[in-house]
Amino acid sequence: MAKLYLIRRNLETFAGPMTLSEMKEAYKRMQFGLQDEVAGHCGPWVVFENLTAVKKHYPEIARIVNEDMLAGWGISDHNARLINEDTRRIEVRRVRGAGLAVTFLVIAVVAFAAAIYMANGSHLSGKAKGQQGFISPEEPQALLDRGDHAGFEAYMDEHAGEMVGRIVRARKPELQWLPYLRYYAFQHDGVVNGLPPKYLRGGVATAAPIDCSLKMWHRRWRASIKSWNDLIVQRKLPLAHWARILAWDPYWIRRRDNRGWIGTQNFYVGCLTMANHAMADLLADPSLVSTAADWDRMGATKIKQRLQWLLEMARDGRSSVPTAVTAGNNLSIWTCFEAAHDVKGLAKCRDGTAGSTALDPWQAYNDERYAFNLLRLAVTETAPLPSDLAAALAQQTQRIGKSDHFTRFDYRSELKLLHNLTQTGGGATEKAAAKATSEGGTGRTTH
Amino acid sequence: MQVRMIGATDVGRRRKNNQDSLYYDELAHFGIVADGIGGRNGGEIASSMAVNGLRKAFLNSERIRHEEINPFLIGSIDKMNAEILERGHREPEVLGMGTTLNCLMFVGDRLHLAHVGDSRTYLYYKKHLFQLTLDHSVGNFLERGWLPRSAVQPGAKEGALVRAMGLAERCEVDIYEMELKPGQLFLTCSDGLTGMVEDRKIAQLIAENLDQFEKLPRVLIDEANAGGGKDNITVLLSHVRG
Repeated sequence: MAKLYLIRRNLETFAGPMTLSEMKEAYKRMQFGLQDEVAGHCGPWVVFENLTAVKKHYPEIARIVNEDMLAGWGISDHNARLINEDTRRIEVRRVRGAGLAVTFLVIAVVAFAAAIYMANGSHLSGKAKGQQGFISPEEPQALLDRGDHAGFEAYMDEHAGEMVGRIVRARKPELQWLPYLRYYAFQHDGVVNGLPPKYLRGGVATAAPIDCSLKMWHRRWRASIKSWNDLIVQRKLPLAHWARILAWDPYWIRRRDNRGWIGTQNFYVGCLTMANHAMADLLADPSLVSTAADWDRMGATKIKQRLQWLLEMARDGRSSVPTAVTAGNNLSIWTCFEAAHDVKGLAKCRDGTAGSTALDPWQAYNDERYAFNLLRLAVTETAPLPSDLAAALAQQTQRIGKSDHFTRFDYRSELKLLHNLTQTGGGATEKAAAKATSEGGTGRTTH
Repeated sequence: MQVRMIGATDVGRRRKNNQDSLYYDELAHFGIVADGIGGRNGGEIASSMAVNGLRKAFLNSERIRHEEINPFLIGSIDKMNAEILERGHREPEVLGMGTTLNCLMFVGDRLHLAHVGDSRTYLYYKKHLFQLTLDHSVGNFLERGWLPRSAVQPGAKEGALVRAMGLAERCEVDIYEMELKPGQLFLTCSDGLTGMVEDRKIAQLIAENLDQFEKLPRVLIDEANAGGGKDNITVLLSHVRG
């Protein structure tokens, strides 16, 4: 008898039991998503996206997750080699001796071919320019430097395939193309044909889902509709990417390294952009609900507002989204925390969260977020910490862990900075701050 | 769908009283298993309050439409949770009592399952056994990241309950729905069974005794007692016959 597996969707409904081949078909029919769980006979439940756990408990499923389910999404397994994130321009080496001769020979042949081509009354077309050997990172960079976005788009439309080939198929991947491909991808739908998402994310933004494409966010939002109010109203913390992204800390994102990215982008910003677009698409889909009030009741407008806040804050450092706590909207408490400029403001936001047991995960998590926001206020200080902030931090020492357990954001660099601030009696200098963030790999640089 | 139901409860070999409660109505396709917690008679009272309260709510309800089932289950559990808390406040000797709960409603071709605590419902189908419910324990919540470590007292047991009726004013309930297929067997039980008998052994016993459906609860209970019977044991079996 063939082995059977059961799929649990959003901790609410089940699909199956089914065989492996039926599972593949069910996935194609979108009966479940990668955020859902699977269990075998007398086995534990594991989330499809957690490939390490899938491999451990159900290796036969890991294979089809990799080969079939993720083929379209191009996810990598956890043991895959990490990409070297250092995408600084590779200096052209000085070619000597025989190498020099070969180079001149190649140039001469190419020049000769071009001369004959032009002599035949034609001009070098864009297509010809796109052939291997003719592109250089200086070209898209120059277009961006000039602010010629239309030119950049046209260039990428034409050459993205070639760049992907140089990364994916080359023996030595030319990672200097990645910033342009990433920028291009997240200006559109978060994908570049042929480029697996692991290259877009890289090995740094590990707290984000590997696949942050628009298509994947459409799936995530649609699959989670029934669970939205669990988070927004019911004080639950669904363990799913759609819920986690709403809990992201925009200041943490702004403090992260964006080497390998262009401008103010990084993968978290790209991911937020796609999640926001996908939610806007959903809100505009008349087939799902009949009126805007229905969306409001389901929590979509609250999610959209939260996403807009997160995106603008993470990308631009400012937002015009309202930040007051509103009844029946738990997400507004997080926004309120993030908008607070001082301890008093934070405490005011916190007042709206009281009234539950110590073991209420939601309450505990809000306490944790309050503490991380105190930390956020502290790390922007260079003078001695204000007394109220120092006192509030002293009370919250136990709550500030190395990472946010829900979003998995790592706060070790910030904690190091806080340590420096308190060790030096509040006299942390810019140099100390820079040291703390660079050691933790969090110094923000621009490409 | 026709659903056959059979259940049994046993005090076990160590406990003096049975704090589990069981109710099932094969004609109405409705069943409840509850496992009381709390010293003295508290657990017994809490589990019987939960089971009787839900039973009454179900029997007194008008015809329930499909979309009304889950709100009905949540509303009834909320009401019983409030009553358990209120009685605990009123009678200091049972203060802190609580209970787990698994409530099954088979309606049309669907199972609606309400779950709080660490009593479990399994699906047995074609010699495969799957645990449908997630135990609301500290260990599970920590593993899933639903509970920060800072919220857990040092030395707290992994198996300690995070959710149960009577623990807090808000009682969060998991509601599961499943499409029914002929041949499915749902096993609902208290942790007196699962603490003593491994899942594979349970699956084996079901496979060996499925043709004697009426005797199956006793077979499982006897196995738990043979393994030590440290806790009360309750078993409810629901077999979908098409």
